[in-house]
Amino acid sequence: MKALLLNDPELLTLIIVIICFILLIFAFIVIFIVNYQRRHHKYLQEKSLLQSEHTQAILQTQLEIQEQTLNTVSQEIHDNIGQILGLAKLNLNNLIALQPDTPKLTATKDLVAKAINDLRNLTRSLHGGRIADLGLPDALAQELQTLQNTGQFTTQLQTMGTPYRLEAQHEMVLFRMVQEALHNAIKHSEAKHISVALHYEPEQFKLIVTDDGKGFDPAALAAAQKGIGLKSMENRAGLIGAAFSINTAIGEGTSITITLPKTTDGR
Amino acid sequence: MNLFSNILVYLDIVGPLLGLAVYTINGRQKVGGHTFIMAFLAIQMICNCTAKIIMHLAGNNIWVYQANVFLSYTVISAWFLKVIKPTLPRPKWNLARFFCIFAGLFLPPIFFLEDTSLFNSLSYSYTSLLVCLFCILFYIQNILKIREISLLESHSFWVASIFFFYYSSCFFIFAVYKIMALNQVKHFSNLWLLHNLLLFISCCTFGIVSKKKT
Repeated sequence: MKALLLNDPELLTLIIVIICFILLIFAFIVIFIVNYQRRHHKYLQEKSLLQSEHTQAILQTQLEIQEQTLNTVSQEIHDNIGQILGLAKLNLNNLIALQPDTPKLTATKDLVAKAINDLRNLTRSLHGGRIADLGLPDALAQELQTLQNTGQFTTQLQTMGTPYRLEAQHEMVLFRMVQEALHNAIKHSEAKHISVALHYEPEQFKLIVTDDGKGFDPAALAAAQKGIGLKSMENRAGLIGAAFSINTAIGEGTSITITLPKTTDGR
Repeated sequence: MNLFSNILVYLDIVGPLLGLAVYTINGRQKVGGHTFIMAFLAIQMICNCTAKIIMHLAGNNIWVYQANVFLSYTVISAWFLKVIKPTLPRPKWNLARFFCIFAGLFLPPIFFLEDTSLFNSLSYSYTSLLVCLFCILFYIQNILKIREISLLESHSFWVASIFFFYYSSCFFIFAVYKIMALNQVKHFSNLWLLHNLLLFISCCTFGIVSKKKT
């Protein structure tokens, strides 16, 4: 074969041309693949970014609707039930004035007063505007005080570093996350002591909610497709650019840490 | 002829046979675009086999190769109709026009311009160019419209690339084969051995990519 080719220069030339052309075709295909892969990678990145933005937008809308609903409920409770209880208390005061030695009336008046107080606390807890007015530390202090007043828990609020204000939306989201964490601790953990620590660091803000309850297995929770509250907290954290982590084990309590980089709070 | 040349002579049958065997083993013969590729391989195998038999019987087997090209192009056109839809406006009509252009360029040289007992360079070259054009249209379509699934994972990309490789490489062989035959260039038939090798490589590659999803 080799000898045949060497004796036929025309044939040899043609074969060389064909081989060069084949190499050219290969080069074309390789260039196409490289170009396509580059565009494909860029497309996937853009798609991921769009999906992320879409998820954020949905979350943001959900949170806004939630806050609006809570504010409306809070207002309704204050305007309607609060007013009615106030009138009831007034009537009871008048009855007590007419019949001063009636222990049951006094006890009923105390119950109504407690109901008014609890309702006031609930309204404060629901109303988002309070957080903007008070600031995160004071709003959390009130929330923990309400919990402590039930007599079933001891609570503690610690503040480390020089406090500074975060963005109003961030403080709102953080407050709701703490409320969710407290709710979980009350409902599931069988804890006796709950503490909230606020770390005001130069480069980041850290919020840690710790309880001395029975703890849980996060993997088992995820496998059972439960833990919607935790997932909600994680989503809220993602919305404001915060990192969310849980440190827990069965029998060892639970600690939830939310870390918000300071650059995302506009300061 | 030495052993190597003997092997090369029959590669145009072995290649399609291997490709068909792999497709059958993978069990994909009824699935989507794989059907067209299996049809292409079957046409190649049957026509080349028939041509070899006629050659051994000292008959004129040129008509078999011409039928091979015509049938192959029909199957390839049908396959591209499935995959090039978005690029062409009214794709069915335009591919029908391509087919008519092909038929108009392919058939008249056979019957009116060329000697039917000789290799038909004109028709085969036109066919190669048209198939290469389909492949380029396929590439343009995919570079303009990026899909979520990587093109390298799709069966259609590899099939189009194999067709592009085979028909663009063989274009020169088809174009000069007759001239070399008429000019009695020595050992010009070795060019056809090169074609057989290219066909073998292409058919084996069809078999390799048969596992990819359509």
